[in-house]
Amino acid sequence: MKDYEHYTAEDFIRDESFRDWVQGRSREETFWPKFLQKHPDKKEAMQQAELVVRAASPSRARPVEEDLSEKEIRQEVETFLAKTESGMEQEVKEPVFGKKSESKARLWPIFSYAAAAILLFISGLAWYLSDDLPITKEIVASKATASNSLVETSNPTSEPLRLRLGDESEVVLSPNSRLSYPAQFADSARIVYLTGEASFSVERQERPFLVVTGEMVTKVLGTKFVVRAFDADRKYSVQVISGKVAVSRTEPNRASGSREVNGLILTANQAAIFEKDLHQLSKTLVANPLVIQEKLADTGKDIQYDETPLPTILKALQHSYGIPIQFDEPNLQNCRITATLTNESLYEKLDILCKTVSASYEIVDGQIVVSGRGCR
Amino acid sequence: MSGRLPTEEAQRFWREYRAGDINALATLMERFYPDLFNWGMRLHNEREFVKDCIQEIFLSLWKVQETIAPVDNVRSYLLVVLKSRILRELSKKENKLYESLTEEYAVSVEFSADLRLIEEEHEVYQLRKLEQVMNQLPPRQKELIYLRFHQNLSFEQIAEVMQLGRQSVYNLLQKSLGSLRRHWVAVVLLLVGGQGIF
Repeated sequence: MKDYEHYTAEDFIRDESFRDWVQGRSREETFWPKFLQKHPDKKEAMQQAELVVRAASPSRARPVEEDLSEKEIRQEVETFLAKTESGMEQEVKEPVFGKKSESKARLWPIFSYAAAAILLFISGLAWYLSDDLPITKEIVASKATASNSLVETSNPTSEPLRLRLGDESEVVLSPNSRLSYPAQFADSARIVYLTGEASFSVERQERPFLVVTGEMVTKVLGTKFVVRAFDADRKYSVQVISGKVAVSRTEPNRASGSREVNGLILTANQAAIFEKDLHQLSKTLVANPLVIQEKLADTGKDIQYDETPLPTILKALQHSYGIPIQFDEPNLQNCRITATLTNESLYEKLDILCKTVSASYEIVDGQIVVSGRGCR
Repeated sequence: MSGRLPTEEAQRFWREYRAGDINALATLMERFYPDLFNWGMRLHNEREFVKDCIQEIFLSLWKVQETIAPVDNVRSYLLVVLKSRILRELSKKENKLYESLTEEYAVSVEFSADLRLIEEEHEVYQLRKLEQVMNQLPPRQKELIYLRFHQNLSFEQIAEVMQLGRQSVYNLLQKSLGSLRRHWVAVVLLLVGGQGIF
């Protein structure tokens, strides 16, 4: 066995057996997943390598034309055998044709195993990339080509204005806000320009949806979110209702030369704040997080806790709001809660829980951190 | 898919074919058919034409069975043979000189990121981006990447298939590196990965 434990991403890319596995033509389907299980520290390197190998797969320009069935191959081989003299007498033998195709559906254990980590890596890559391919270019270019057909809608009224874009995405434009968008979106990306506030329900498509607001860009493929970017405000904000969006600055901070994060990935109930003076993006939570995971039976019902350990409740909240909650589990395990929670907001619930056990909570980087001395 | 035939097994079938076993050659044909077909379609996007060419190269191989030499790598040898067959047929068809075609043949390689089972939106987006950058490369550089990553050929074998000298392939690689380094670090990683094995 090769020295896989010391492999870097490059080594994996070079490794034929690894590439075969990623490309789904490996003879040893289970080797790499098993290896990963044994060496979880290789996860990141393997994922990077996998990404590159995946991107390098040649497309089939005309899939139908280029699809070759096993039957067709067999026919070709039979024709060949028939055309050769000796082929006439030869019997078609099992070893040649007996291979049954294995199940086409491949599982990608690496993905289910570590989806979150992949996302981290991808986002890292995205910001890395944004240094070299500033997103502004993309925008400027499409602005130029689409300038003739850019439609502008403003909302001078005091009521929200509902718009439907060419891709079926829905926008609710707040009062005193303005949205510009091409009458027809380009094939590569859907780009809109916002001044003011709007909430978006984006139709999921492969081409990304970009909301440009001054120095901030919000990138998304299909999700619900609110962007607030009034010229008069000192801050821009993006709040995510569902799905996932990426927020970044239109111009990477080149002067600093560092690889500091100038983009964020937000999930449901998280928000990004862009401070215009500081040119800084930071992550926080939306003002009123909404339940995203709701068991049908639980809707609107009281939830009663009877001598329930605090960690159990926090985990339940984490699950239903999709917001990571950090706490010292052993320390809080002895804190028992007896309470009935109804329609309180997340923050009210946290207030009640924390007061009961003399703990406190704060919002740090889009997560909730609960700290307390614990209970006896 | 039954998987690509490992080099050693292919060598064994090649020996058996040279010893006069038609079934060994048929096995090679069957097992390498997808690779050959895919490569053929890059050179000329016409199904039946490509299938005919594959049929013919195996028929010729059987004709020369008694005199054929051992080869280092069966698959890259077959790719070379198929390429010259296709170019020859094209030169007849398009009434061009074979020599001029070997210089200017067009390989159509478009990269299309493998998105199966990718659910994360940003991953999809990133892969699309990477794909875009790679598709902007000049054709010869794309051919190199195709042969390296899709056909899994070594540097030597790529030189053979592309009918270039070792040095030219190096130069080509350096060029790709240069243009990609400006675009995307991950792609550089990919090509450096390719270089390291050579």
